[in-house]
Amino acid sequence: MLEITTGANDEVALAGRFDASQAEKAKTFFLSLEQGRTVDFSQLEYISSAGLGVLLAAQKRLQDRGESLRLVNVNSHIRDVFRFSGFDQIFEIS
Amino acid sequence: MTNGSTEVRRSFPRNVDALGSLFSFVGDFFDQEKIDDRHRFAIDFALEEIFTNLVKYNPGQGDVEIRLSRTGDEIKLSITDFETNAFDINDVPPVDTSLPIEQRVPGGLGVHLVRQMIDRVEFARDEGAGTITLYKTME
Repeated sequence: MLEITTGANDEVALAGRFDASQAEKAKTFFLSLEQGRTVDFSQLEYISSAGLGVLLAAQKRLQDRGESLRLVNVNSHIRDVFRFSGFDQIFEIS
Repeated sequence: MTNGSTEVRRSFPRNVDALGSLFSFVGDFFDQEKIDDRHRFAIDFALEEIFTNLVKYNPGQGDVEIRLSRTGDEIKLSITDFETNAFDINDVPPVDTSLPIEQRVPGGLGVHLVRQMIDRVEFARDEGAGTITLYKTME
């Protein structure tokens, strides 16, 4: 299960598992964003290519507006996924 | 940790909503074998990517069988589709991960990542059933 919450300063927090069964829900949220956001991954345990696809679509849409997603507190497994996929060049990760 | 392992197997409905049950199956196996959870990410990832490809591209209605075992430090994951058309992921072309964002598409990325995380992949077809077997050594 994936939980998406918006906190102070409009920071988005993801918690749980971002797998294919959660992609549609996440897509609805991320493709509704009109401005760039910081996305806190500290409670995100897992992501698959379905999750990456949602984030890629959101990043493309935001970049067309001169905005972007910034990912923070990314665990080592997920950081590897971003590195292996080249998404570490597409997202600002810290 | 012991060297031997009892193979566990279970069949799952061909539906993306079964993913939670698949992950629980992997978790139970890791608990049974007392395998550290840090090795679980790659197994969960490979299983999801192969399973969701079967759901997406094989039109059948039959269940998909998952088997897990461990020999020494090696985990073996087998995914069998009895309705054929299971694909050999070794045939999937590599993804150019250096492309700029405008040219990136999600397609093929999952299999590309599985090959990065898993040590060895075998494919076998037997009497209409296709089996993809993945091996991961725990370091």
